[in-house]
Amino acid sequence: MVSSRVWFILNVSLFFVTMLLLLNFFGVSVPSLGKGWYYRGDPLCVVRWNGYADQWDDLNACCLYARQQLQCADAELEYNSQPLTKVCRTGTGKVVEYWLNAKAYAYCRGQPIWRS
Amino acid sequence: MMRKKNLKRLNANSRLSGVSVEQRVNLLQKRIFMVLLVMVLFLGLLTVARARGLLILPQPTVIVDEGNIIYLDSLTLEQKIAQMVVVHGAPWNLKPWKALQLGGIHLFALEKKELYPETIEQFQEGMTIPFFVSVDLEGCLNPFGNFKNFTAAVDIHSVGAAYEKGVEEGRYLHSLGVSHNFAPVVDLGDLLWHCRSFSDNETVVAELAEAYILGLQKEGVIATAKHYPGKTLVVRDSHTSLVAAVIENRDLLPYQEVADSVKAVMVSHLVTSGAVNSQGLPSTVSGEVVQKLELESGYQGLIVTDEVMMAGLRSYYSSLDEMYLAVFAAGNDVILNFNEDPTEMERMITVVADAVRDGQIAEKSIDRSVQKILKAKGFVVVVE
Repeated sequence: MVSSRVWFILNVSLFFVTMLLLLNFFGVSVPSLGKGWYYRGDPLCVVRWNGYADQWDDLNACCLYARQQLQCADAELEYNSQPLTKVCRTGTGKVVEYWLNAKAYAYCRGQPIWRS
Repeated sequence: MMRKKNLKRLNANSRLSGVSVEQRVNLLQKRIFMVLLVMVLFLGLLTVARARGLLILPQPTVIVDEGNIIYLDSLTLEQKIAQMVVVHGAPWNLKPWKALQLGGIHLFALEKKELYPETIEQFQEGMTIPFFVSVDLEGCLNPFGNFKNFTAAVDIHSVGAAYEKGVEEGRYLHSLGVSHNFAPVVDLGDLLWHCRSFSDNETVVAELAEAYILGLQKEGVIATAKHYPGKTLVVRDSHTSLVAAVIENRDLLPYQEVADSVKAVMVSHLVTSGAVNSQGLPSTVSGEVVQKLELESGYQGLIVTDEVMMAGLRSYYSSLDEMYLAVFAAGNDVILNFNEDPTEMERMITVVADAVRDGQIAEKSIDRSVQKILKAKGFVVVVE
């Protein structure tokens, strides 16, 4: 038999979940308690096409263009001694590639245009 | 004293009925648990349904008379505003986008060619006013790159080749069901991709862009000259917020040359000075920039914004509502908003509709844009 104390803990937990769901339903956002993962350094996006490689400082636009690609895969590239770990592209060959470091990719994934 | 007496009484009652206090408390806790569990499940389902846009109520059906005639007044204000919005045509948002009767869907890269007509058919099915279906097949950007190659703009050097490129791409897009291509880029030069602009010479860009536009539109696909007023591919400032550029007269030449032929122009988020002064505002929300495009170039086609969820534009405003109002009030006809959240999209329409009702945005301006959109979709629009 479940003890009274267990019921109490279960009920209090469910009450909090109910409250959170209610707040969420009515569009009240609860402030984030922090980030689970922190990437050191600055976000970096590099555009590559046909042998050219240039840093793109407009990270938000970079996110939009990267989002439009067929896939973003794990990969490794160094640009000015900085490691890039994701490449977003459509197809192979003479195609445009968007290379991002971990921080840039994490930023992009958090944008409202990138929720799938 | 009273509490002790009550407990004694309760215990006495319990003994009589054969149920202990602890059992009673347990029973009560169980009941509370069941109620809370049902609430969590119900609210959880409701939250998921809301996030997927399943709670969005469909707009009333639009009546189209014989001869493809639409009476503008038969559309509600919300339906008119929705017609001005182009979203990402994500399959997971099929139901909400259709329920809202939005103006268009923009398709990103897909794995196989067959997926394009399939996706488009799903969206268009049952729609009285079809969606614009747009893509970014421009310069060297190719959403079909997984199965089809096209020549990059920078590799086009003659008017004939530009026209052929327009025809080839137009035919291909038309066969898939795409009605609107956000191309050509008429910015002078490209220092980032090195392939999106035809050239850094304004006369060459104007000639090649004009030829490309004629070829594309001959195949029934709307072309879009972008990004007004220019300089978007050559400014290199860091811009997690907004970028400023000085516009020269030569940046505007391609727009003046294609004004009569091109059916759409896309406006950028750059803050501009010089030949086009956005008065410190991003061009997309600057009435001066939009007016200049119409007055000085004599352009009468659709005015399309660059994607508005880019933080460059968003960060200029303290709230999304403010940004929505500014974008609609500036006189743009088509607003690109790739926010994946259907609830937010519905909210945007409501916010703008309320602003129109309050007189903050002129309804005439909305009507004018919707007329242009419906005409571009092949309807005869009757205004009473």
